[in-house]
Amino acid sequence: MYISLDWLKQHVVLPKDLDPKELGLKLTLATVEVEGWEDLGLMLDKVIVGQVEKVESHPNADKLKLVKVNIGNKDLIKVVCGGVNLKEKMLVALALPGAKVRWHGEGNLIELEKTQIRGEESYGMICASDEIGLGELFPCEEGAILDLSFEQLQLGQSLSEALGLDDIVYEIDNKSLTNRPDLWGHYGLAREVAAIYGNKLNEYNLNKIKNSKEIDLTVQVKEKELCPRYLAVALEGVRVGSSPDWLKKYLRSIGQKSINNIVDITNYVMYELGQPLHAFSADKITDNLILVRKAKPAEKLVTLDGEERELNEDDLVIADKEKAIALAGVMGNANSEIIDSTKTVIIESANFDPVSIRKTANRLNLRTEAAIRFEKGLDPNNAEIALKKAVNLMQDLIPGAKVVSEIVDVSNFKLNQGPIELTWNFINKRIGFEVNKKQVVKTLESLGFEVKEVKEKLSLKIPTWRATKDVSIKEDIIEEISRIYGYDNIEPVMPEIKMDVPEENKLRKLERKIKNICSVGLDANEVYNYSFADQKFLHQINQGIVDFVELENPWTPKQSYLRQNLIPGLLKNVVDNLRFYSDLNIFEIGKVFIDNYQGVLCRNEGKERLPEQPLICAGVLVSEKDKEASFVEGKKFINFLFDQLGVKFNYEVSGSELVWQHPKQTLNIMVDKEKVGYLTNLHPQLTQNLDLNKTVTLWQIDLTKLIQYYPTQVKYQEPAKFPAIELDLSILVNEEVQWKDIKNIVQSVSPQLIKQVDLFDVYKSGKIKVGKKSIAFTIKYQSDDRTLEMNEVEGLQKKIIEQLEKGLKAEVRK
Amino acid sequence: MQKELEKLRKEAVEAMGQLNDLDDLENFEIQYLGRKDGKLNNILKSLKDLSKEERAVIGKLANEIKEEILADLSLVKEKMEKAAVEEKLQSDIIDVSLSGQKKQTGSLNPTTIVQYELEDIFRSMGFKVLDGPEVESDFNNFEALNIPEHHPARDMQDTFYIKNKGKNNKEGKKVLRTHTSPVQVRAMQKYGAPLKAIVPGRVFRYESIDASHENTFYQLEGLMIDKDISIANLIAVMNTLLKGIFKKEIKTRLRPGFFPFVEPGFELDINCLICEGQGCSVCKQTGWLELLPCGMVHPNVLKAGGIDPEEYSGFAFGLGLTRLAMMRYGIGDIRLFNSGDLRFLKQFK
Repeated sequence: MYISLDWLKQHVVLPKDLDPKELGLKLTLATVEVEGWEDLGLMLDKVIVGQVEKVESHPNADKLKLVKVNIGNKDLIKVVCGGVNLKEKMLVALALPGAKVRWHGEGNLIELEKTQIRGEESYGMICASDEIGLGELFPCEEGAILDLSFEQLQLGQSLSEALGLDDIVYEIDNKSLTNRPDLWGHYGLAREVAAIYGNKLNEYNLNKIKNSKEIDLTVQVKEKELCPRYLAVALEGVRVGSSPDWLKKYLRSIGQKSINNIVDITNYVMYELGQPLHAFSADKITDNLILVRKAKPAEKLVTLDGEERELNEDDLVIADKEKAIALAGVMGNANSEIIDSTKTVIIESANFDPVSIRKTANRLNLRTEAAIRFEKGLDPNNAEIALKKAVNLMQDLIPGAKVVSEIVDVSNFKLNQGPIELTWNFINKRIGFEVNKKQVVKTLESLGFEVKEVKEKLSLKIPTWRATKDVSIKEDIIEEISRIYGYDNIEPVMPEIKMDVPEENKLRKLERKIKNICSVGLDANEVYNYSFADQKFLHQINQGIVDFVELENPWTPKQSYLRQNLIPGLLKNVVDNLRFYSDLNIFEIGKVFIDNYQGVLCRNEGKERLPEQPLICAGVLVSEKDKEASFVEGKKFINFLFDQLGVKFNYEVSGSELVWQHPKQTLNIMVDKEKVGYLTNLHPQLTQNLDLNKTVTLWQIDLTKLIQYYPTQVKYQEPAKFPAIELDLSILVNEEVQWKDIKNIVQSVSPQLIKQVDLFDVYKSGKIKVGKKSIAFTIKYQSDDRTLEMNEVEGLQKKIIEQLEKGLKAEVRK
Repeated sequence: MQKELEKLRKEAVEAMGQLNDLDDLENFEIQYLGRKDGKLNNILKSLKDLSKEERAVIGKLANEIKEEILADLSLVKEKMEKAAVEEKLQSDIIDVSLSGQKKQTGSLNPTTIVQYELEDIFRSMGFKVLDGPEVESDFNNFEALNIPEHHPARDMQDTFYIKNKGKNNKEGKKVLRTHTSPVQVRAMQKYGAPLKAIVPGRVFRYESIDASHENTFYQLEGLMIDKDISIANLIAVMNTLLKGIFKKEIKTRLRPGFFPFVEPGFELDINCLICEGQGCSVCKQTGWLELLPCGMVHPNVLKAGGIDPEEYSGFAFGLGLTRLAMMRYGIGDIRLFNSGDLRFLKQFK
């Protein structure tokens, strides 16, 4: 929203030497966010009104013309111009050397100089509207220059003067006004400015209106809840024409185009008081009867923008006996629009239910100036003031305009004006220091509160314009007092609180520990993927979407579902990153979503539950290794991870339960007989689908399950008292022989004395023997009660070899 | 025997002259002075056959000779060791310019790094670290936070809604949480007052993605509830927090901001870190950066959390973790965080 300083000055006295920047800053710190301000006069410095006298072709350029511009004296200004709409006698905005313009409406302001364009002198520039900051007000076609011929302007006059654009204009962030229905017009903001500066707000004066009963205007409000107040009045003898300069100037300064006197007046009142008005052509309304009713199912209406809209029973319309004539609080209907021949108008000033307006405006995507005001909850009292102001203006500006009906007022509202009661003690405690009572009372009064002080208590009557929703509790008053006092003037004070050790969040601790182990200890790279599941990619990896949590309003079809697993996202990362890397080691920790509604409660005392959202950790290893080596690498990863976590686990052979699991190369990770995760090689089908020529090993751990076993108390063991003897053994076995069988045979020879059997090498090569593999491992012998003698150990080693030869047909390599 | 000893002395001096290296030296030592079969010891083996007087003389001589040999030997040894080091210095040639082979190193998402840093700051100030569901009830995400349906404040947080499949829908819609604030309510219900907690986590907004907008990003919510918590307290804690984050005093300003779950609500701006308040493109020439929405917890929210607003008050604040990470590392494109692009991610340790 734009706010004009001149306009504000109509309502509040401001210091003569006011720094516009300072006012903007003060508003930002006390009331609303001022996003910027602009000195319109400065923008248009050295831009004047000129008339195109002569257009000749440029000798060296087809698209350029040589133009002579009349600026009201004898000398014609020679300019080179390429405007596509250039014609003789046209009124144009001529920027002279020294003016600041924005080339083609983009980039920074550039100071204009006398120049040569393709060998021809140019003493200025004929501007397009966006080159001088008027693009919004006077939109130009691409390549066209601003045509000012619609207005009678004095040649040579500065453009800012000619258009009345010498104001200072503030741009206010609409979002910061969400809770302040009273600030959607200049008068409301003037009240804030008055409170901030400690100055007086001018009273809002209205002339008395002489009623008449020539027209029997009737209003019937069928929906009292949705329309708490409806005022209307008819005026005859209006002549639709152009508005006076002062009115045009105000509207222009805030970026509004002048349309005609009637529309301009209703707009002016809205931007002044924040109350939207609507004007109907009276001759289009049957029997001078206005109904406020709900739309009928599938009722149709053509809004002023020319669009046909289909309504439903949630929408509120203004109608006569036969037809809807406006979409209440949102936009008028073309069938009752003011046209040049309109003689009698009916002006509406009403108050509508904010929720109803918001629903309709949002559904039809019609976020009009009226709708964004009504949805904030306007003060019904303001409707009356606005209507009267509009009638005053019509009678002032249109000679012969005459009120021909009563001011009809159907009113069904009640406001909660309090009082709010609060003690000085409460105020001091919540703000954090002892306030100056006199200053507080002055602040509240300047904001419109009626203040009664009884002993240590304040009793406050809420002004009507703040009573719709905005102010209702003690804490609201704390805000009023402290923001006008200035938050920056409050001395920071550290709270005095009891010391305690914060309770530890175990799951967070586990998550953090794993991230640390994976990144620092296991050299893995953490990725974040979206919580959405890409159906197309899932299809590519043969994953259906049954039992996926689905979104009602996905932004793109790629994000229609929520992920049930981290693996698909990680596989996508693999595909994307293999362009740049040959080996990958990535992991992610994140929530996944199960469509089972067995998660935490939706709300504290309710019954329904949210979808389960376990915290999962998963990763992928990609390399050129063979599948076995890659799988072993994965095991090394998991072993290290669990060792660091101090959680004991074992592997259990598993088939394929998920599409990416290899049916014969999958191990479940078991802790205390509970499956907490798995390790698998990527299913060859998926390797093929994704066109991967690498070995991919995947792992996953469900942290929501693992957490029960973490953290474990470390059980330390005393260092062994007697020395250990370690002997290596290298054997040749058939390729199919599994390590776990070798290990079992070795251990069975002497479970007491053989403390550890560690694999350190597996080697397959035609050089050894086809169909064979070499396996090398270390056996650790140790006794708990004596020092082992070498010959005893050698005896055991021999026995092991015998057993291996017998059981697995192993050959010892020398 | 005396003769034998003298002969040995002579022989030893000669042999010492022939020594070439430390190995020779060791052999020499064993050969002449060794306990088991050394030449000196072998001579002395017949000492027991001599008279007491003779023994004293011979013993003295033998000792002299031993000392002499040892002293000479240590000189030779010193010389040889020096020479050996000298030789190593000459012959041990390596190419120190060879580059160290690259070791694969792990990395963390920059958001994770900033998140853990903040968690540590807050834990040191006594805050609990909490978590909550990402698919949340509309009730906790909005209504319990004083944002009823059709409230214009919902415009500020465009929302992804979960499709209702006909089950579990009596208690309202489910949404992808638009902020970490719903955990406020859950935390109050669970722990009551007093309470100090932060909630780092993933949040979602229904909007289009470009270099500065994401539909998935991270926030850190903070909450402190106790008796007589004031606006002055909020300012002090926020300033301390910012000092912890930026490792220096940060100039701040507080201005009104509207968030229905706080009253009063504020926007906390910090002096632009790039231009230090002079005005630059990052701060849009204002000298200030909007960083931290905060406010005094609305009494309705305290009530929804089961806490008596007459007895307790508190403040809440929200930090954009992703945004903070962008500021910290000067990351210009928010989309990189969720890109999975290792060329980006591998840089953050």
